[in-house]
Amino acid sequence: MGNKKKAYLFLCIFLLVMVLIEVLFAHPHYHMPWNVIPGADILIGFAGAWILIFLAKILMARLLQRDEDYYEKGGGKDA
Amino acid sequence: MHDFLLSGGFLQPGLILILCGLLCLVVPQMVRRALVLVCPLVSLAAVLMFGADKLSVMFGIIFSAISFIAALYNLSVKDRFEVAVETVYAGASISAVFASGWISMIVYWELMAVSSWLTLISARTKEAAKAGFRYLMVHMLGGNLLLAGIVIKLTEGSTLIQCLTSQPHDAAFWLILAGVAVNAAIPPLHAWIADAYPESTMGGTVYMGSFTTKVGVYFLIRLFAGTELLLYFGVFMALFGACMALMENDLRRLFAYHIVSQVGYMIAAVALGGELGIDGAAAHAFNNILYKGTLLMCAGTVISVTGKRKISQLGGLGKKMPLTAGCFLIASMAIAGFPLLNGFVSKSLIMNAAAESGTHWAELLLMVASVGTLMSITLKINYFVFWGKTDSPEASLAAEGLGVSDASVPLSRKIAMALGAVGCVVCGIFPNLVYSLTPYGSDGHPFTVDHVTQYMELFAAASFGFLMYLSHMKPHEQLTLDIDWLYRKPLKVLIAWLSQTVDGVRRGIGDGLGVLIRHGNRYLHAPVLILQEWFGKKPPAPRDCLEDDDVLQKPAGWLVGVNFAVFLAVVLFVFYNR
Repeated sequence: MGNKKKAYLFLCIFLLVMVLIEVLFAHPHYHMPWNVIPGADILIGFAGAWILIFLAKILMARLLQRDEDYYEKGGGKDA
Repeated sequence: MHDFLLSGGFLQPGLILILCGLLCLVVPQMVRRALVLVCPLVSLAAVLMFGADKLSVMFGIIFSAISFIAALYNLSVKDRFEVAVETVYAGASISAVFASGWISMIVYWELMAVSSWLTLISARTKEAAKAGFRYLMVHMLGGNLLLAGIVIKLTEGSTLIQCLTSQPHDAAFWLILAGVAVNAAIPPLHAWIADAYPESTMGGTVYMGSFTTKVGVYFLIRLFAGTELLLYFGVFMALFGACMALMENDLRRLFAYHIVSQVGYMIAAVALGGELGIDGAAAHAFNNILYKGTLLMCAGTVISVTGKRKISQLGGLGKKMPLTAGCFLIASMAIAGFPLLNGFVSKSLIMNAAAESGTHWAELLLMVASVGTLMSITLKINYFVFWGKTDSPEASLAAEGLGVSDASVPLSRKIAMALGAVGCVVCGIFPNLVYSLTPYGSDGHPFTVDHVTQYMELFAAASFGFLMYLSHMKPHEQLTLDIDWLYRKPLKVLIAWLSQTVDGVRRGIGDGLGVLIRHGNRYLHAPVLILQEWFGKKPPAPRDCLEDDDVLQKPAGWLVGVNFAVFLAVVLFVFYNR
């Protein structure tokens, strides 16, 4: 089994254990969905990761990334 | 005078480090080394003995502690100027948080700006000098905005610093907020941080990452706690900093963006206000200085040893530099908010503040920002720089280079990194150490099952997403544009155009006047020419005055002309005022 597959397996087992602990022992102080629904944070973590990856690595990277000599070339020396 | 110094907050613990810094300029190296280690401890003792205000004491303690750790990290540096300005910078920062009057605040604020600029340019590179110029311009703008606000406050008769949140939102309010926002790196006034910090020396970055923004946060707590507007900026900063860090390739630029992100948490907590919010902001600033200082020290060590600063040029250093990698791992887990580390302790306070205030959107987005921190530092750097396999020949070469090991790192640097990492663990395991220092002594109850499982689920799920996108996560050798683009490109073109236009107008006016004087000169030289020309007589050829028979003719002509003008002006004045 490759390292990546082992990591996926470990994460799945870890998440399962965490949800089990949450179901059995957690007493939430607040009452929003991510506080009371067991495992809701998994969804937030996973969706949050992909939203940030999309924003940063796909959208912002295309808009904002330039060659490393961007400030040196074209307009002469920068300020 | 004595009363003025005491009541304005001029005499306080930071002066010890300021004097120490000035002494460092003249004393021999051995004495200098002893001074920079002993003085932060003396300053710490003074903070504990004489500090009356809990918020100031909390910042004074952590500023003194990081001054000691950073001085230890920098102990092998031989440049007396660098050591001196860094120590003055630390002293000015401590002095600023102990200032009780507006005047002492602005004095130490400006001293901090100048000494931090000197710290930056003490790298003595062309890039540092250019970044230093931009840094100085931005901070002088911030300082002047603050000064303008303070002048208004002084004219209103207010001499002591007081919370402005409940006061009228007049010009003074906005000017002081804008001035403090520059230091706290609130967008769009944040670009200086990623522009300047990476160009400083390795030790200089540790000082810069610890003081300027945290003094900004201190004054936001002191002056603007509960200002709702700041919540939007704080949450935006937390997310924006994480996104920029995800893209960034330069190791220290990445950390600079994480300062923006972490300060975002603090500003959100300031905006939430109340006891939990204020304590959350102060505790997070305290912890941030510890783990960010450790991260910057580790990054500086990697850059010093390998000579590379780009993540794409590094890799596989974990086995070669286990101590550095271990300290980095601890600090990187602390910044994300792993339980039993100090970041978790203060994030719990901030999350509780958001939940209790009912701003659930902010709570949710700050959780997403934590995911960003995990991916961009804990996972990205640990994987691509220390522990993951590298497929880049340049990175392999850098890792195999001569002297690339912990053995080549000075002992003082190793102790400093270890101290920082131990601090993260101790404050994480014993959260009351931090909570007891906060202004209201709030307890974040960090180790409840729901808190711990929440963060572990969040991080494990985010790691899943990171693994899925792993092949694209490695940063590219590219530069990321930020707001500083505005003053590095279009503003530069605009200023060049303005200066050329003004120069053109000036030249045009000068030339026009020259023509006028040249022609007028003839008539002043011999006023009778006017009459001759009016009556159609051909004027004589112009004569060279110096070769002429009477060199006094021209000055006399001018004198007559001026007299005539004055006479005419007087007549007109008298005529219209009859």
